[in-house]
Amino acid sequence: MPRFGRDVTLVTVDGDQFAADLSAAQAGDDAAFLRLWLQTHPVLLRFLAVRAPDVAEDVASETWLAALPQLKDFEGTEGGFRGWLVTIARHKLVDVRRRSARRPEVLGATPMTEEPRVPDAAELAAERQATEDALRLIATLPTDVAEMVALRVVVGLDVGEVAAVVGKRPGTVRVAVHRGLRRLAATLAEQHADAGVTLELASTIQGRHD
Amino acid sequence: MTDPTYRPDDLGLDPWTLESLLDGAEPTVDAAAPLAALIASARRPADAVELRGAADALAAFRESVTQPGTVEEPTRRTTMLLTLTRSKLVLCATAGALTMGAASAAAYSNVLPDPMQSVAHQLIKAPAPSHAVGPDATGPAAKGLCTAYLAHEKSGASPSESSVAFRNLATAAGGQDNVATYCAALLTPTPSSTETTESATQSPTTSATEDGTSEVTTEPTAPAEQAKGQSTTHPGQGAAQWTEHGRTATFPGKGASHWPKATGKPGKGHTAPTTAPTTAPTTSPQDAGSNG
Repeated sequence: MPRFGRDVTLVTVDGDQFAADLSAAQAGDDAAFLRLWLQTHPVLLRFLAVRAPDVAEDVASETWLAALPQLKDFEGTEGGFRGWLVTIARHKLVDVRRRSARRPEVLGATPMTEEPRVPDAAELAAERQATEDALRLIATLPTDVAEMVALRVVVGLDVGEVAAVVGKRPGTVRVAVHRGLRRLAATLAEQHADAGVTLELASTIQGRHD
Repeated sequence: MTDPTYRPDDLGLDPWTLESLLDGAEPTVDAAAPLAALIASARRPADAVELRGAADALAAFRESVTQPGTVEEPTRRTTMLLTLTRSKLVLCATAGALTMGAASAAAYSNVLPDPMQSVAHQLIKAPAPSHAVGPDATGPAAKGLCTAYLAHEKSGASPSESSVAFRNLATAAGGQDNVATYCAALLTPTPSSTETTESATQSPTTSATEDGTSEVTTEPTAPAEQAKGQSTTHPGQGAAQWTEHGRTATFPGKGASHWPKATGKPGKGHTAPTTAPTTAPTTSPQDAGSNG
């Protein structure tokens, strides 16, 4: 069952591998930690790109630094691990906002595209652009809805895990996420109807239907 | 499946459809396709730019691990000790593993391709290194493979994505595109001591001859000396496991061209491969770690 050309997505989880890596990392195995980081950091970064694109990388770094001393004590699944990091990140975000309330939480250029000069830059840039467009579009939703959608879509948490992070009831989360997704679909439909069809997303869709 | 909450003005996006999209299913109605594409884009596998903090994160982790009693292993700071004038990967892999000073042959029995493994057994006749190997065999093994991988990268050749060793690395790294970042970060020993031995950057122009020797420049461990001494025995074995066609474009190369960036300190000879494919396959076969 291919998923849009990619068999492995960012939110693909492997419970056994995660459990093994977690316990190894807790015992000090740096390779295992690196695997955890590689799986989790991009997710964290993209979640923060929805919430606070201007400080996403800084907050992500601070999140890891705060998490490391407590890593040994963490128990849970991969979803729980991601939820735990996201929770830390949300606190860090509040701290950062408090420290420097210079820029409001609005859409902005995410800092992900600084150095795209690579041999296959064109394709990679297009893919990256599509990702950024997607995150930016999610960020146009009301903040709390955007956050819940991001946690479901980007971080890959289930409804219960999202509810734990945001402090809402699962039913509330479920409905809010659905409402957010429908609104995104409506926005996409409008954009598609517009003559421009500017989004890279649209061309991706075209590619599928051709 | 019908759903009582379905309404025509929902573009066909009833809760069941939405949940299936969130589960990664293909859209079943036209109106769901754009949303499905958005979700897929938001979940695109990480690229090297997003992973460029790997080395820093790993350094922070190592700092946070304060375990008294752990042997301070000089081999941890051992990095690239190979001069790859002959680019025989089996030698690279074996010697790379050995220079880690961390492995018995058994530790590698699950990660090396069979031909490589057999050569490793022949080479590792010396007693096991006396150093502690760390808490888990995964780490040292990964480092050995990474050493081989990066050395191979520098030689200008592309590892075959079908090789067992590369698949293992891809699995460990969470995807082929992450291998370079994973390895670069893993082999960045400490922030301060990265005296990477300069490797030969020239590519192999012809197949190595039978007397091809791997010129291991510095040897902290006895087994590595052994490797140096015996490396002429079977230079050919295993090389084909990694690359049969040298520079064919089977390896996407995205991450690979990024890896010096990920270390934060590109060293000498770490230039991006000039022969990297300009176009990558539109659908790269993610045969490692796929759960469908």
